[in-house]
Amino acid sequence: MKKVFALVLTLCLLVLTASASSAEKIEFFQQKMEEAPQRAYAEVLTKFNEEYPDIEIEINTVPDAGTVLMQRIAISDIPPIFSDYPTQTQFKEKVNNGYIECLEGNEFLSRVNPGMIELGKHYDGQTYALPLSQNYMAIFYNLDIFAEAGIEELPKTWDELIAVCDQLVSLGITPFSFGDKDAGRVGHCFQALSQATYPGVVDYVVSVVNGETSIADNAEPFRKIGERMLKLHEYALPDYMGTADTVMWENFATGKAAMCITGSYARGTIMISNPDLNLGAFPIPGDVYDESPLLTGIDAALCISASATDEEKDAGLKFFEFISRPENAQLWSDIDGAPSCILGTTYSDPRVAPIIEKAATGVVCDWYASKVTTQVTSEIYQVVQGLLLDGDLDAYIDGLDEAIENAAL
Amino acid sequence: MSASTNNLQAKSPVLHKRGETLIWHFLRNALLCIGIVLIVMPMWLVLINSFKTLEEASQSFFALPRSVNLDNVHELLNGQNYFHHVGNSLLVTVVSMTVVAIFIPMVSYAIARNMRRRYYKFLYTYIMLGLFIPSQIVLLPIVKQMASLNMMNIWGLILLYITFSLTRGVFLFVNYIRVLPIEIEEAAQIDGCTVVQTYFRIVIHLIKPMISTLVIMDALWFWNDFQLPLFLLNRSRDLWTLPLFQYNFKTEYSFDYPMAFTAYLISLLPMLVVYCFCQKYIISGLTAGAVKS
Amino acid sequence: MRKKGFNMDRASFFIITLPALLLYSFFYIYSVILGFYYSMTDWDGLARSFNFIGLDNFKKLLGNKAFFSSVTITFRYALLMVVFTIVLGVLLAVSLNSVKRFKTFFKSVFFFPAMISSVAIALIWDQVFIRALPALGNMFGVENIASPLGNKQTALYAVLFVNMWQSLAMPTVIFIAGLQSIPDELYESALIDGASMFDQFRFVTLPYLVPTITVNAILTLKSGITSFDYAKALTNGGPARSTMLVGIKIYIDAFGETPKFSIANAESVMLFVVIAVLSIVQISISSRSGVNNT
Repeated sequence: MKKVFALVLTLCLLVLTASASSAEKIEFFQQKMEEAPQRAYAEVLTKFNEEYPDIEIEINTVPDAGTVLMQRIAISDIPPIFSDYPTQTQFKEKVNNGYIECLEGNEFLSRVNPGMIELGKHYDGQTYALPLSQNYMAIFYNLDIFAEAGIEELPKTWDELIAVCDQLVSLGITPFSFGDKDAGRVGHCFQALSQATYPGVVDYVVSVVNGETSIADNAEPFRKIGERMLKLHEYALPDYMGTADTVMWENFATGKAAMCITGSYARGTIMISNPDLNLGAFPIPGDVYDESPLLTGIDAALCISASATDEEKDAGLKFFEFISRPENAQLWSDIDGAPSCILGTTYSDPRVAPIIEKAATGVVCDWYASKVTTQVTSEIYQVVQGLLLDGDLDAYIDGLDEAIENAAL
Repeated sequence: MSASTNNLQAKSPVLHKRGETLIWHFLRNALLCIGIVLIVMPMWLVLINSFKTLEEASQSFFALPRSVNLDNVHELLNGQNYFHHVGNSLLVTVVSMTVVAIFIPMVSYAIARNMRRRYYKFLYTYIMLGLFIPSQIVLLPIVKQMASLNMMNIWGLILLYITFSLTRGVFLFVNYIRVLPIEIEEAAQIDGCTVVQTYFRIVIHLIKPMISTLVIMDALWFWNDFQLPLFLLNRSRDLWTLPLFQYNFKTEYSFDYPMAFTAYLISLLPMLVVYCFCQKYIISGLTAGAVKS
Repeated sequence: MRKKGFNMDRASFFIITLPALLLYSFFYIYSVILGFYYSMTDWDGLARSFNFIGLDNFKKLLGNKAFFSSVTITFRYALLMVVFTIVLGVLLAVSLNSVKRFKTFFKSVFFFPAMISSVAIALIWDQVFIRALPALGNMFGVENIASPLGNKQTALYAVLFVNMWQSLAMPTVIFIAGLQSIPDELYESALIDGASMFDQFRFVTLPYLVPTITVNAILTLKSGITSFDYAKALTNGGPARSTMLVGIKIYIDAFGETPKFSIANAESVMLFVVIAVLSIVQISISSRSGVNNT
């Protein structure tokens, strides 16, 4: 009998101690697992703590962050401060459901590049997240290899790119490193290439999603995009399908290939893996340079939960104000490796000038996810991955229609 | 011929035709060797590459490290709060384990000895329902519930482990206890023992093999589980158990894979040590329960 | 005196079961019921309100090609796993049982994988596939050995291999236990009858292992059907959906970037039905073969 009581008592105790513990620190749920952004936030936060010693913000980065954040919103346990992607439909969904605090009226928003504010606005024209950095898709290249191969002019059109690849091949250099194990990475490349080739392609996808037409009705653009995906992979290091993104970056960073199509999110990580790398970037070309847009969007943006306490909201706003000061934004951007959205910062690296120039012309486009759900994009990614596996363009065209239909579930 | 089971089976092939025996031995040894290579190889690669620098590893993945370089280990042990995570894992495993080992046999005993009564019959069927239910369906509702109870922490995790281990535990024990002869217990009761006394003086000794089986099976589960900790302990790094710590290296040290290997190695270390010392007991302990169920 | 003790006993029995009943109802059954309920709503996991829509989710799923391909892949995976587990498990058990020298050593090596977490195993094998295979190829002068995870045809087998690498240990232990319950006399008399080793295996060992085989088969089938952790960590369902097991699909639908929580729950309910049917089959089989089974 005593044992039983002891047991029941232990259980009660367990429950009691469990409910007693609560955290004093304010959580900042940061979604990027890569080393560079983690370090960048940590540095800025250290400076922040010097100025506000009484506010304790703790960065929390977990594996599978996107999933964990969704789960926490589903159970109404939303982190007070978190990073998210304001141009994505999933973020807009969160705003629609009233989970996110409106940032309108805060002084620090005026420090942000107005173009980026515009891009990140919700349907109601209000700003719910502070855009911190921009991302872009580009062809990153190894300046040393290009110089060695005698390539002086960066390719501006598709044909020039292919000429460069052929030249590299003739010198025994592998032009591209691809990492297609993760459908998401295949998709990023596909998004950039498709929009560079056919600037209005997303709108066409939107009309397919709305059931107005189908991919097969007007297969030519997608066939051409598919052919180009395949063409690029002819110039790739072997086993690209089994290669994870990190290995792709590593192969590129260590000079096994001359180029790598990836997002600016990878730049910091590539530099960490080989600090001596002479890294440059140029836009992914289409048929005519002036018409092919640069795929760019808001990469990291910070927001505050609508259900946070006043104290937490206040701390969050102070942190946002702090990180959006040009000197701090500069510090952040230098470590993270992505261009900052904050005015007064410079992205000094001249080797990335072709990207900055392109962005300045205003011929830019946003990610698919700003117009269709991530469900649609991830279904499309799977089909494109399938195309890379078997090279069957007809199956790919049919697959795209089927994928968009599946996504409607 | 009164040889023990093992002995005879070991001897019997010798009595067959020589050629046949040779072929069998050859095939058997080949199978075992391939198996051993497959099992040891990845572990071996993890081990040797943990001691290399990135440069050394990319030059020669299979070669022995040039020197036993403990820099990786140092960096991880100093910078990453390793012992804290080991402590969390230990706490979760030991507490859940103790409660489960005391609690489940008692519940099962009550059920097994009262199967004729309606309440216990119901209870048994009720708990057995868990055998049919895929874990995915419970995941979100349970996490939601834990959050509303403010139990998104290690104690909440322990409570869930205790609850979730009921189904398998009760299933194993009830079937084990039911076939035990009831006469001894009846004799004890005639001598004036209460149920509780009978349980602690007699029954507990009879079910010891099964308890060891349960302890090992569940301890492995609690120690190695990834999904529940990920969903319950994601508020702060301080709460992480070892598997979360380990998974984190998938991205954090994606380039420096010798470092990732070191992380895997030191995460496996506690289990390796336990296994080295207790492997005989672990295997026989598991077999004890397995024979009966 | 005796009567009083009896009542006391009944009370103790009841009190012992009470915490179990409460915990189980409160933390498990309640969640299961909620899960079933969500499967009949249109809740995406984000919205603050949702509607009850009856069986619509199930209807949608039955007409969905992606779900069906997942089901097909899952069954193929589970069946292959059963076949390999039985064949390799029995072979391994017989081999381990007949080894004379280093028996403990062999046993402890073969049982070792059961000690490690599935996450660790997946991470390690992932690295082996990426780093070791090409290096191995270079050593033998074979260029470009590709990771099996990057190929539609081989990815599922690679995942299965890693899964089996860990999960084979337990069934093997159960088989060994089964082997040791075979009476020696049967082998002796078989020998006197001049049976070959294969005959001995075929007519003595195998029949005695049948109950163990059924138990292992059903257990493996269940774990194969619900499996998701290996494929999640190794391929996340790719490439091109070739390893999209129902378990992963549920996970992605429930917690992915665009959550469709109610759909994911409907998928789990369907999985529940399959497992329930299998379990009923198991119970009827094991009660029939119970004579041999202890």
